Amino acid sequence: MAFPSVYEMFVEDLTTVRKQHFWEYFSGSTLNSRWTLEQAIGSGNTGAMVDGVDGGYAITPAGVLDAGAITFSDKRQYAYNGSVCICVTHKIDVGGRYRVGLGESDNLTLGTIDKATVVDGASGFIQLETADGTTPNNTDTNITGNTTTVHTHKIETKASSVDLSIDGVFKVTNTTNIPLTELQPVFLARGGGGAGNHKSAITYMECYNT
Amino acid sequence: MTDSIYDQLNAYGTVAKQRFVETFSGDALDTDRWSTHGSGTIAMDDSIDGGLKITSATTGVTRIDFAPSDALKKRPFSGSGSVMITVAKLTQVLYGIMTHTTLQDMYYTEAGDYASIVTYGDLNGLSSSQKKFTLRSSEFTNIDLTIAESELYNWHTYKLELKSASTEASVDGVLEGTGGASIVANVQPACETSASEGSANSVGNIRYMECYNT
Repeated sequence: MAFPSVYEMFVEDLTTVRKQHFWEYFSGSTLNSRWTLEQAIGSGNTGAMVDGVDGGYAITPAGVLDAGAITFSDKRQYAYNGSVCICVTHKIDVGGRYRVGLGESDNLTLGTIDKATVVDGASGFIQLETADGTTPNNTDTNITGNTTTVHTHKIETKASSVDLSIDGVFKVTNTTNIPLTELQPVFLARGGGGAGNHKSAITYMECYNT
Repeated sequence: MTDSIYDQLNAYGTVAKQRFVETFSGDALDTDRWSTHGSGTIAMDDSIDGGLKITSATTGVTRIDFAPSDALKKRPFSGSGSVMITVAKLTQVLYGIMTHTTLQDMYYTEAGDYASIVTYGDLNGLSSSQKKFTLRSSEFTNIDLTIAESELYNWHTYKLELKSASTEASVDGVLEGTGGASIVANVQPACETSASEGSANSVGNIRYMECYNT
């Protein structure tokens, strides 16, 4: 049976007033204008749609310590205590690092902002990383990081915790140092090792308030 | 379980008609899709569930639609067979009018055919009969909806359906008003706030819009 409307695909019927909800396919000739590419660290970071199957949008950091990020320019419409962020991301070049999820501002590498994100660093395991504006809290999953494997991440902010599932399986939860202010979607790619301009890409993002 | 959005929205073997969904999320309004008109301001709201905020000048209309000019207006929806769903809120209590759910054929400066669900706020503190939800159309006399006045400044889900011989307005899933003849012309979606008293801006927020032909 087909739904009459997209609206009714997500809520039972029109008696429920739906909350803020967006999804982005990262398909097209250029990035949708809803996004802004920010120079989160350094300058000269670039981003572009990828000319390849399941390529999505890739950010190329300018150097080892540099980072570019796409954001909503600090339009924070998603709740720190009742929202979901689903994203599909991967590293194009092993050695780079990415962070993705909901953040107060563009530079997700800072521990002094509010955030609920996933970190795939230069080694170790993929982590859930939260912060409450002063202190970060990183929790390892059992998923090996720093590969080119494509993963689906689901981050859910709740009243007293933040949960992370990867590829449909619940992994970890943080109950301390969780965000305390309104958030926006952010995808950040940072250089690391070697030439430092290792690319990471995102092919899907969806956020909604619960 | 289906893999496609197409199959979620269209029965097997049917050809999809025109449809679009706007979630009003991002750093700015998608001006590839939308045209803006009027001397007020139109900006994404920096608040949870805020969507797009449309603020009119103290007189006049501030609108988004599919018509960058009279010659270039795009009207892909049927005046006699289409649906528009919005989630919107009249934000400014005094002097505010929000025409949040509109299908119309005309350019910003023109008169023409239209059907709208409108929320009227407290206009200059006059009689409570002016504070109301109304189904308006170029084809029939205005129909006041029966929603309580206390609901004027809350978020609601609105549904406007243009049928071959009638026009229906629903609020939060309940049919609240039915008008007569449909619009003959093809139509485009629009959302606007307006003020006429010169006393204050009219402010409204919208966070969802979907239109499709039936």
